Amino acid sequence: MDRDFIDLSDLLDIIAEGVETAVPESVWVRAEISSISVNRSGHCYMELSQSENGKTVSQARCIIWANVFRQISPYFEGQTGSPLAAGQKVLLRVSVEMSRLYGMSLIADDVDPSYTLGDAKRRQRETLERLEKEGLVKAQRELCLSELPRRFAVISAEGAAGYRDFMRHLHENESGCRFYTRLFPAPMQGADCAAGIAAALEDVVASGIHFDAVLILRGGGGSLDLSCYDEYQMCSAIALCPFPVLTAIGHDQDVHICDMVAWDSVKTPTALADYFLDAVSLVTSRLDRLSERLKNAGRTRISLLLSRLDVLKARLEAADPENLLKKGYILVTGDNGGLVKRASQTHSGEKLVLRFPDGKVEVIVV
Amino acid sequence: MMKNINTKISEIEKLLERIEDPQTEMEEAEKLVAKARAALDECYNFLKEEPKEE
Repeated sequence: MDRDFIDLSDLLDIIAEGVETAVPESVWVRAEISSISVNRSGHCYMELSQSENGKTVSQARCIIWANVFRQISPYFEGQTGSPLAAGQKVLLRVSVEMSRLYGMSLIADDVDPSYTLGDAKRRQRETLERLEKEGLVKAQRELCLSELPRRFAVISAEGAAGYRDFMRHLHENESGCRFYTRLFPAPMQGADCAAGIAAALEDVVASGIHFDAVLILRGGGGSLDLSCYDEYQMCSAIALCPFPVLTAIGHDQDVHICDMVAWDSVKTPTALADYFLDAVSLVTSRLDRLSERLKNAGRTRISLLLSRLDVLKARLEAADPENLLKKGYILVTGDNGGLVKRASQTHSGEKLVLRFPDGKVEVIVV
Repeated sequence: MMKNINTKISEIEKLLERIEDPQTEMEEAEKLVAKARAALDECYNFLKEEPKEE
C-alpha cells in the first residue's frame, strides 16, 4: 500500500512555521493560572486556562525561563502583595514556541500586575453588589453581641501566627479572666480559603454549641493574598451565620467585603483579643469599685451616726441654760423657785434669786 | 450558674444602697453586707472559671 507521508518532525516543522507566520511577535494574553510550579533550575511552569460559564474552554502550557522569572516574580509580588499563584487572572506577554519534543508552549517574558489587581477589585465590586441585592450586607447587625463575650468559635489555621498571637493574648490576660475557645480549622489563604471558611462556619453551627461570637483570624498578608476574603461564598456564609462574626484578617490597609458583612472587624488578631479584654476590664473595675464601697460601708455608717450625734450634741449645748449664763445672761427665780421672765411678774419687797454661772445672789425688789 | 453578670452587679448596687441608707437598722445592714460580699465573690469567681459549653 503506497501512501504519501511525511515524518513527524517534518509535520511539526510545518506547524511551527505556520505558528511563526500567524504569531510572529509577542502578544499580551489574558488568562487564569490553573497551576504553577517552579523547578529546581528556577524555571516557572504554568497551566493557563480560560473559562466560560464555569467551564474550561482553552488551556495552554506557559513557561517563564529562570532568568526572566527572577525579575518578574519579585516585581509582581511587590506590586500586588502576592506571588504568582493558581487562581489569579493575569495578563502576560508571550511568544509562541513549537517544539518537536514538547509541542506548543507559550513563553512569557513580562506580566502586568495592574491587570491582576484590577481584576481583584472588579470581583470585590461584584460580590458587594450581589450581597446588597440579596440584603445580606447588614444581616449580621441584627444580631446582639453579649456584653461580656467569653465563648468563642475560632476559625483559623492552627499553625498561623495570628491564631497563636490571639490565643496567647486572650488566655494569658492579667485579670485572670478565663475564656472558652474552640478552633474550627480552615485554610486562611489560597484557592481553598473561601470554601474552607464557609465550611468551617457550617461546622460551627452544626456543633450545636452556643457561642457568644465566631472569630475569623489571620495575621497579615498582601492585598491580593487576601482577595479570597472578597469572595461571595465566604461573605454570604458570614452574613447568614446565626452568631455575631468578628474578623481580624491582617494588617492590610484595605477593607475587605468579609469585614463589611461581619458584625465587627478589627485589624489584627491581637487587637481582637483586646476588644474582649476591654469588656472584661470594664466589669472588673466595676466590681472593684463595689468591693471598695462595701468595705467602706461600715465606716460610712459609723461616721453617719457620729455626725448625727454631733448635731444632737450641738443642739443640746445650744439649749443648755448654763451656756446662756456664760454668755452674760442671768436666770431670775422667785421665792417659790419659779422662773421670773418679766418685770411685771415682780412686786416691791419681793425676794428674788439671781443665778450667775459662778453662783447665786439674793436680792429684794425695791 | 450565673447567666448575666451585669444583672448580678445591679443586685449588689441595690444592696449597697440599702446598706448605706442610715434608716437601715445595723443588724439588717450586717446581713446585707454578708449577702453583698457573697454576690461579689460569685462575680469574681464567675470571671475566673472557664465558661462551659452550652
